[in-house]
Amino acid sequence: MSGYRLDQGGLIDRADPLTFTFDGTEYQGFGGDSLASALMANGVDVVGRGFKYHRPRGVMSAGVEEGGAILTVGSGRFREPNVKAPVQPLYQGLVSSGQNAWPSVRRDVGRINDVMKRFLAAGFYYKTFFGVRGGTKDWMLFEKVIRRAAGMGRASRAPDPDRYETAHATCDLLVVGSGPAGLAAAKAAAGAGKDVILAEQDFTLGGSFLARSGGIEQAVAAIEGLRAAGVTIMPRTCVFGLYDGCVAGMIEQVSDDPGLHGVRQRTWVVRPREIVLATGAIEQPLAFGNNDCPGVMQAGAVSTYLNRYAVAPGKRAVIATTNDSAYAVAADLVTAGIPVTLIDARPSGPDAPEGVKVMHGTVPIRTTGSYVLEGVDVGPLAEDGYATVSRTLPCDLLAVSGGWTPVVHLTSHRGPKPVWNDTIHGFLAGSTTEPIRTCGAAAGIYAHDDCVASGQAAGTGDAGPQPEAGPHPAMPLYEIKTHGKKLKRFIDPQHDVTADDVRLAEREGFVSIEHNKRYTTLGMATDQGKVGNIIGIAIMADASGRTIAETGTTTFRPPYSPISIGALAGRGTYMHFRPVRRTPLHEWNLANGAVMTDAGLWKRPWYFPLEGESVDDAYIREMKAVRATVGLCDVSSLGKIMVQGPDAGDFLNRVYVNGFAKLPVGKARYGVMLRDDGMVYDDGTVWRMSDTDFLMTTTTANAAGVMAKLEELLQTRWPDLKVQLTSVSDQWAGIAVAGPKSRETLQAVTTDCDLSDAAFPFMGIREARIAGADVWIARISFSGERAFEVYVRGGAADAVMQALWDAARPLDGVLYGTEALGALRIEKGHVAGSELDGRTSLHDLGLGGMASSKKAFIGKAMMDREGMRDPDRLQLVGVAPVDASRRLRAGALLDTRTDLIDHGQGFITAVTDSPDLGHWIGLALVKGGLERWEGKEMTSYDPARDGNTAVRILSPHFFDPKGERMHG
Amino acid sequence: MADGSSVAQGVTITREDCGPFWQVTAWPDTLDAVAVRLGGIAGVQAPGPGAMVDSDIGQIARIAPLVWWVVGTTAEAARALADIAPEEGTALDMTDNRVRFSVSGPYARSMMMRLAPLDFRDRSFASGTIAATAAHHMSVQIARREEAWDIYITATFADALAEVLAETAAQWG
Repeated sequence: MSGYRLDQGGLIDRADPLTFTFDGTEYQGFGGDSLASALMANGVDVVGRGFKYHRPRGVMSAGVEEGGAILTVGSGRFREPNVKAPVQPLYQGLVSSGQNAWPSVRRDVGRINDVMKRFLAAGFYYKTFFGVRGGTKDWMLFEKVIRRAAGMGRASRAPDPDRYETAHATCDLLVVGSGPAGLAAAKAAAGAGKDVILAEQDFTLGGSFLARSGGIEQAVAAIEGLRAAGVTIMPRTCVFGLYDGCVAGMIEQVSDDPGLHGVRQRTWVVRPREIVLATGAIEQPLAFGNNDCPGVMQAGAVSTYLNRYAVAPGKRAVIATTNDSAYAVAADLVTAGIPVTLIDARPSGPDAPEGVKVMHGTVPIRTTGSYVLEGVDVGPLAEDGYATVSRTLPCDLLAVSGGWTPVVHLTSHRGPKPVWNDTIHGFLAGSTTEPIRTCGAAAGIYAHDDCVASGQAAGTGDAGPQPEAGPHPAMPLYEIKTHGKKLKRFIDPQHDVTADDVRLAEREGFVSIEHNKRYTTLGMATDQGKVGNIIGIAIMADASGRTIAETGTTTFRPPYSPISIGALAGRGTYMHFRPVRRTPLHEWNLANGAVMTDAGLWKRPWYFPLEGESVDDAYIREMKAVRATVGLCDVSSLGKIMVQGPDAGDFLNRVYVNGFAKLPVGKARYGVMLRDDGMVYDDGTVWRMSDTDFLMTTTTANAAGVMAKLEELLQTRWPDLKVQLTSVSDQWAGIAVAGPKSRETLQAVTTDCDLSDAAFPFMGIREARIAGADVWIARISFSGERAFEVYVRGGAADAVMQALWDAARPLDGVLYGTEALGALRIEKGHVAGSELDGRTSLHDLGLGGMASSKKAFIGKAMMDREGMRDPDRLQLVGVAPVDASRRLRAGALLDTRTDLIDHGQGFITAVTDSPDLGHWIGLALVKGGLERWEGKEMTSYDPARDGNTAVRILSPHFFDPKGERMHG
Repeated sequence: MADGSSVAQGVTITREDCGPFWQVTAWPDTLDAVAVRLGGIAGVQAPGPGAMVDSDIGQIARIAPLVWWVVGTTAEAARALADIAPEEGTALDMTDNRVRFSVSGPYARSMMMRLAPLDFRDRSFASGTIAATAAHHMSVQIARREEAWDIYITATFADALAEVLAETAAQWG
């Protein structure tokens, strides 16, 4: 192949010269060029290497089915491998490079593999598993070599610098493809008043119009008409999949240079009422000797390069065909001044275009030329199906047309398997009851006028033309067999799969087309089998004595062509991977020195270090202060649900193990709720605000889950109850005021609320005002100290918190975070998420006495089943080191053995260094619990960290076991 | 911008405090009665499902089969709304529960298409329509007010949504 630019014609903009590079060499192209056309125009013939044998590759097509011109575009962190040159629009400064070659695609030492090709046939990889000596020793050596050689391009390891996003669209009709049929369908539908989206994967609309002489002008006129009719036109947008409910996934290539704020690619999720697939057909190659040589390409692509890009792919052409379509290509070559010989496998065909020599009954047998195409050996096809060389035709361009295969992938995504059609010798879309219609070449209709009529009918939902064989039917020919020396006849040029590979796989027992695909890797490269699959199926059928219809196809799944993971992620990366949830006191916490931590989606204050303090220093200091004076903690993340209605009390009775229907107004109560299987699900407090209004609090982690569960109960099990649930987690900030001086702190800021024990006993709730804001105050304690929780609307949270802090500081109060919060509750033996892990029951946690015997509640039936009362169950205990200087670790196993090899008797769930007790303590779950182990010694087994530690089992209520401090 | 809004060439995004915000609900057998009661307080017919109307006491939206929101209401109206018998329905002060983002400008519709899987065409989402959906994993309600779109989101997610909105809008200048 020795391509060059024609002096006139094409859809390129000769007033817009563009400079680009390939493998470090600078070249020039024009606006409207593809990377492939620009390379071809500059006479670049070798642009890639095959995967296994590293044979040179040139441009083979003009579309996404490209198997040879697979390049890397960009450099550094903008590097994108495996770009198909024919579909990459040229832009100023484009940097491109060859792949799978060293030092370059023009001179590649990997070509040595071609010498060893007899050892690299299909399945060689699997045979290395057995090795030479048997066993897997040899495989471990082969694996290193194979892994290094695997893959085509190399991606950048740097973070992707580009932005992507997802968008949604709705329309009456989605038309896929902007060729003659697609444009006609869109026009017809728009004329009928439908809201139409037209998606085209190419960067220029027009489809096969762009390959026809005079077609560009027709396409331009049609497109202008569509714009005037209000059709939404989306070029560079590939419909990569169809999904349930007729939802289409599309990727739009927005910009190759998006700048700081733009996006590079956009994923569209489109919900049309109907879909018209005008996806065209892909020209098939023929499998003959050395058909991978640079200079061999699809015949239709030659016309595209001539008419669309004004590029001549060669100076002397031979066309090999089995059907009529290549005759128009011959005419285009003559018009461009390129001598052409057409060899037609059929005994007869249409009239030869003027200036074209035609040889009927002749097929290509083998190309000549060790590096690029220099000629082709041709000869007649005998009745036994074998060909014999009769002459050599010198050429630098061999345009091949082995027929056309309709693009039926998208329908196949919806389930219907493609159906073989003997009229067109190709697979057509299977029938579907969904509103999806196929037209034009995608429906096996190839004549231009029939394509247009087919599109019009599809656009309005009418019946259209059917596939016809025409006066000169195409010849079903896939492989050119010869006697004598074996030739490499490629059917998958990217993965170097040959006709013999398919036959080998069939002989070795891979008789299913799906297995044959995996064994040979036919169709598993970036072209996804678009040119090789049909030939592979035909060869497989021939080898196994079946018909093509009986052999069938592999399953087509999305995506139709490769898509970026980044495009699918859209904006959901880095900080947007999950939304961050901030409490109303977030900024206040930060301004007052909080180090934050993640609690699910929430940002919560972890600790408030003084200068030079580590997290351990800080939380110990905070704990001490809470026990000695007062501490303030932002507890806004707790779930809060308003439960309203005349049946609210009854509802809560059914949901919690203990009673709430008779809870007095102005009181709160701790409650536990179970799952249906009797396991503990969540705990919290319920405040009775009025006869029919309750405020339920939940754990932070389970807030959404509890809300969903309660809604499900109301909607499915108890729809007769008059209960309204509303999440109010967001509108209320919660501040824990805990410690012996908590009352004094609160009293300093609120004057309208009697906080004495008599007026405000434990678990009472009151309304009050602080810093001019209405608040609710509950006397509840998680820390075990006298404590209150102040709830205030988010808008006033900062003011209330500041007022409390101003009152706490003179009392040597502290701000404390989740580290101290957790440590305080461990000292008290209060259970939290690490004990409420979905596997523990009320009895396991020592809370069995809470469960009411007088009422039904969720989980009651299952909580006392035999397995749940097994004395061998893991039960809550406390644990402390025998040597007080030793630390404990959460997650450590517990047992009496020191050489543990199983799960032991239990494990430690939570630990803290206890300033009140002067040593580490922990909560644990141990088989048999306190009844079996209290006072006894066990070993804490932690080989990954601290090794073994002797511990004693104690009551989990380490500090103030009678609760005198919080009740006092 | 000083008022909490940001402007790209094609999109204006304004973050707003919803003001006093009440939820009124009915039971299945009291739906009509509560609708009449609400309409009487508001001076307009209570909206049907998925609709939002302006009234003397603020905007009223029917966001669920048995649920109305009254946004930006008055103190007097709030007292009237709160005075509902439990057997008839419920009323709840939800002030500070939600934050509203208003999106307007030539690319407002394009902006909305990047947020939520809804049909934002005029024929499907006319002015006075409200719908519940999700945007970037966050539950939202979206209402159309003439050529502007109001996004209601729970307060603790508001900053996260603001970040996404600003980043998305940047492509238009």
